[in-house]
Amino acid sequence: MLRFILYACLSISSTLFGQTNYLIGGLPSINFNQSLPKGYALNFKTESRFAFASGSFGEFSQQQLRYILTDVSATATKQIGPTSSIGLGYLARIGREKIGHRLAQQYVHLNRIGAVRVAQRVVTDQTFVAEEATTLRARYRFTAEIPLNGEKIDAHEFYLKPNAEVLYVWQGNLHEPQFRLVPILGYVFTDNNRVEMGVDYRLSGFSTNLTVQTFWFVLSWYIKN
Amino acid sequence: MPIKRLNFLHLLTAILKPHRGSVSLLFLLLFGLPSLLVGQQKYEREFRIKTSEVPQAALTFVQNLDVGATPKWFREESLDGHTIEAKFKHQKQKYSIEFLPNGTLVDIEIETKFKNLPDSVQRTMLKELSARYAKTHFQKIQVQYTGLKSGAALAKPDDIQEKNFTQLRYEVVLKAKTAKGWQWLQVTFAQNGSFIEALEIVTRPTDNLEF
Repeated sequence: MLRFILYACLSISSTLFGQTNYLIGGLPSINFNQSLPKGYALNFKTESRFAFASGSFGEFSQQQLRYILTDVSATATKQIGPTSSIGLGYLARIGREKIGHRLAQQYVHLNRIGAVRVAQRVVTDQTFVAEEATTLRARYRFTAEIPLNGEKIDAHEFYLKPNAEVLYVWQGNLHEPQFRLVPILGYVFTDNNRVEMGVDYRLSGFSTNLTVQTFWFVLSWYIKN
Repeated sequence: MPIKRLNFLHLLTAILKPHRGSVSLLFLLLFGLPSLLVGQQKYEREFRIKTSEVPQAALTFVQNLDVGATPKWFREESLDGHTIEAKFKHQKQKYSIEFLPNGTLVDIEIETKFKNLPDSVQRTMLKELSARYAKTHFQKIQVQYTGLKSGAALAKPDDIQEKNFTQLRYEVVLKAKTAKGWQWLQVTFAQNGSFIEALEIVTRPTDNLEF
């Protein structure tokens, strides 16, 4: 069944975008959040990337489990209004050969429309890797959290969390938009302990005429103290 | 009655117990330790129920009200017990009718807008809030009717009026800036807008929406 869904996704994508490369992988992550007085909070996150398969549509694909990298990040946030917060973060991207450093600045606006919690996030970030041009990105993400039982998400209940994100990336002479669509199914153990899983679909490579589509299987664990 | 739940850490430890290798240790460090930091949560849950599970008295009460729309029925559980709630929309207003498990009416709440409250109530509410909090941001306002008068007949939603009940209050969900920072509160006001009480709402984390 999973193979059929993947095949269907890849076939549709191939029809839509012509010559493209693809990557299918896994994206497990752990988020730990610590509330602090006066509206401050800290977020620690670790996220690894594993590739399951990669190649070009219509050609032989490489199917091998391989580790790619691990991101470790810390972000401090401060609530600046009843529905909004700002944050500053640092991320270390630990690859097999290089380590990258990323600084991020974010603004989040949270709202509620009926039973649905809605978040809008704007992020700018700067990534520094030795011997590479600095990468600058501007991102906007829209997320909805939809209870599947009742009007709010309680313990031992599932919920949907679709999100869509638009990014614009600058690196040296290269600049391009990127898109992400992430349908997520979540489950709440307790109010402060939940897991989410889904597919993080990413579309990039417009500036090089070789579109890259990435399908990350997401498994995230959120813990709050 | 609270339902006994599996402790996630216990489950995890049981799975890992036979494996004492370094991989298991790493796994436990990564996944087990953070869950130790998670405190006990109050057991409270709301979920949809079928009409067949609704107490007959509650069903009859709502049917007699002739709400037009089909109400959605919920069961709200807490450590104190449970209540049954009917929710529906009538003329673009949200209604919520709460019953005891035997079908006895608890209260009726109708969502409204601040501007629709009487001017004197608006002024008193704002005065009361500004005396207590630096800033406030309203999220939801409900008019709460309690104590149906004997002999009062509710044949339609428009009959839900002050004259048919012994008590009218306002229940406001708002975010207030306090010495601790911004907090979600449920503030109850009397019919004239005077402050009765404020309860802190334990909100669900937003980390999964922010990161």
